[in-house]
Amino acid sequence: MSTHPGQAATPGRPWFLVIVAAAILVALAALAVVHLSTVEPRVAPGQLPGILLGESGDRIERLVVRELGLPRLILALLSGAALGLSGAILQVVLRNPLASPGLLGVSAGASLAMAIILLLNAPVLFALHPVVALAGGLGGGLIVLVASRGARTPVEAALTGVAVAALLNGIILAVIGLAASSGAVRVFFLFTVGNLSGRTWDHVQLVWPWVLAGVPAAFILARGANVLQLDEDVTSSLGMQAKRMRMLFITLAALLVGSIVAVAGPIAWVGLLTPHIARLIVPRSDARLLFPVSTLIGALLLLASDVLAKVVIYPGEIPVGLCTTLLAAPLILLLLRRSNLGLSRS
Amino acid sequence: MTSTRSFVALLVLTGMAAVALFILHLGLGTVWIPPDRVIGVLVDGLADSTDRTIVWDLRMPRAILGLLVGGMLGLSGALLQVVMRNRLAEPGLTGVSTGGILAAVLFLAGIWGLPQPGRLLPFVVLVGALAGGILVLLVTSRRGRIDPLRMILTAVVVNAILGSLTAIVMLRSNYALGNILSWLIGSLHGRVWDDVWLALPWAVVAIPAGLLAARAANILQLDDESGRALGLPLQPARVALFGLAGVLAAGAVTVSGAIPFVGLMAPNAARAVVGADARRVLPLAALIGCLLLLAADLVAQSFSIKPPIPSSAYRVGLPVGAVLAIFGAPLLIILIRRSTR
Repeated sequence: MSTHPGQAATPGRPWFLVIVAAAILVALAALAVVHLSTVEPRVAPGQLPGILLGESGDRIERLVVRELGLPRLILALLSGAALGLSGAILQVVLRNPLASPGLLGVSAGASLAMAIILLLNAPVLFALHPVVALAGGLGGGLIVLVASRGARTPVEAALTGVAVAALLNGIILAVIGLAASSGAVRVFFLFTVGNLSGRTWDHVQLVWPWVLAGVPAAFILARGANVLQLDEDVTSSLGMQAKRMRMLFITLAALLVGSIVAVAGPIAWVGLLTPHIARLIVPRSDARLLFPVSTLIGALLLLASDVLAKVVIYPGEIPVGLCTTLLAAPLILLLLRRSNLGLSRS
Repeated sequence: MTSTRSFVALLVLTGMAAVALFILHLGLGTVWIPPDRVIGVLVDGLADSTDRTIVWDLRMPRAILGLLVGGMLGLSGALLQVVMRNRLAEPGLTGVSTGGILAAVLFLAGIWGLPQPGRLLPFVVLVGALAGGILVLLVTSRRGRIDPLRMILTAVVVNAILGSLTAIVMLRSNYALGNILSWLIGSLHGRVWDDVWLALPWAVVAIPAGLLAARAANILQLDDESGRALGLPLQPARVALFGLAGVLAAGAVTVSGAIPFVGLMAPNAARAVVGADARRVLPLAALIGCLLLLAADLVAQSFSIKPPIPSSAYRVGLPVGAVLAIFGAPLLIILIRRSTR
């Protein structure tokens, strides 16, 4: 993308990054405690270690914290990390600040599966909904991958992804148009906004292997992503190799978010906004730094959002997907006003 | 596609296709009127008076709006892709769709405690759309320095906020969510002459203005140094083109809701055919927008389906946005793949 004169890349400041990473980790730990103690009924933070280790607390407290609070906390962390990283991968590899997991076809595929289940009353067991959504999401991702196989440039790949996602969303619109009168639209809408409420260990089971395999893989491959950030002339001289590398990263991004979308719905904007926040912290657009920082910030963003989701209109709840935006968006505007960092490259 | 002559031929061909679709669109409906009778009604006006009523009073507004809205969205998207130097940019980024939708949702949800006469809705949407566009523009240009990346980022963020607020209102309102959603999807169904009069002024002013901006658009596609060297005041030019794109999109949103995909697809299709020169992309994108929306509306209108749901006995038309995406997306992929760079 564009480079600005007079904004040469600031020299790397490793100590600054270490401090930032440490601060994020501390914030994560603090938020985790708040998140766990805001179960229903509320538990005092001081009691948490005892309840978790099974030494104190009554039966209900233990049940609520261990069977509802803990899986939701873990899901929030995993989802945020995966979405943030996936967004960063796509923005780097497709060299486009508008790239987000939405163009992978995964969200649209999962949503389509849920639309068919919820709006057309397909006979699927409630417990199997996430599995069917995962299948739909991976199917959507596969269509995008196959369709963009011949793409010669990042823009072609990105546009193909957008087009396929639009196609799937078009089918969803058609389904909504057919079933608009039914009350199920509300349930479906709740899914598309993104929601972590009432998730259990079963959901965690479906998610953790993908994230735990995908995140380290992305970190290891980050060098390759850096190559793809170079000039089009350079990457096109690499030919096949660059194309394969790009497809590999797109696949990785899709696998990272597939299970998340299936379990929590396509949580809006996290994947798009997180890398921009990360880029305002990481001075240069070095994928080896950007990927881990985006992962951490994604987790932080989603955890903070989920805390908000639980407390803002207590005893009610807001879907976490909405809090994410309302939290991240003003933050970005603030960061943008205060610095020109990170805008030197996209 | 290099010579001017072949480009003009292309424009004429696309224009003729649009006219043919227009006539077909006027003929199609519950009562089929063959093209020769439609032309008869249009030309001498003395034809069978039933035909005349059907064509002029019932179908003409919808067909005209198809042309206008398609053209406005196509041109708006093309301008934005130039200003933001990003081929994923689309009219929604100007903030007018999310602004208009938020206003509509607030209105429909009755939060303002108003009675809900449907004829008021377009004006509410128009106000919301303009407010959304102005908000994005203000936040974008706050510090005086506007570059494409900053524009994209702030536009995305402001849209994210407006979109989330809309979702919150929708979830908390008891008004039938399906009705709101079906408006959000965008449609030309049931539009009348009043809607045409509402959209026409915007189209008449903004479409020529957008086409005339092609030279500035071409310069904005270059990097900043070259642009400055060519003597174009970059910041005002960017704000002007962004504003123009917003006005075009606002006119469209007001009468038809948030019709997706035309604004993204038309400019990309145009680019795939004629390359990057804005003097060619802008008019062609507008024409392709017309074609797309008319064709999609034609399909949407003629494909009424009996839903596979036991409770519903009536037939339902497909939303035009759905048709657009379902048929347009594969077409876009083919076009991109075919384009010679």
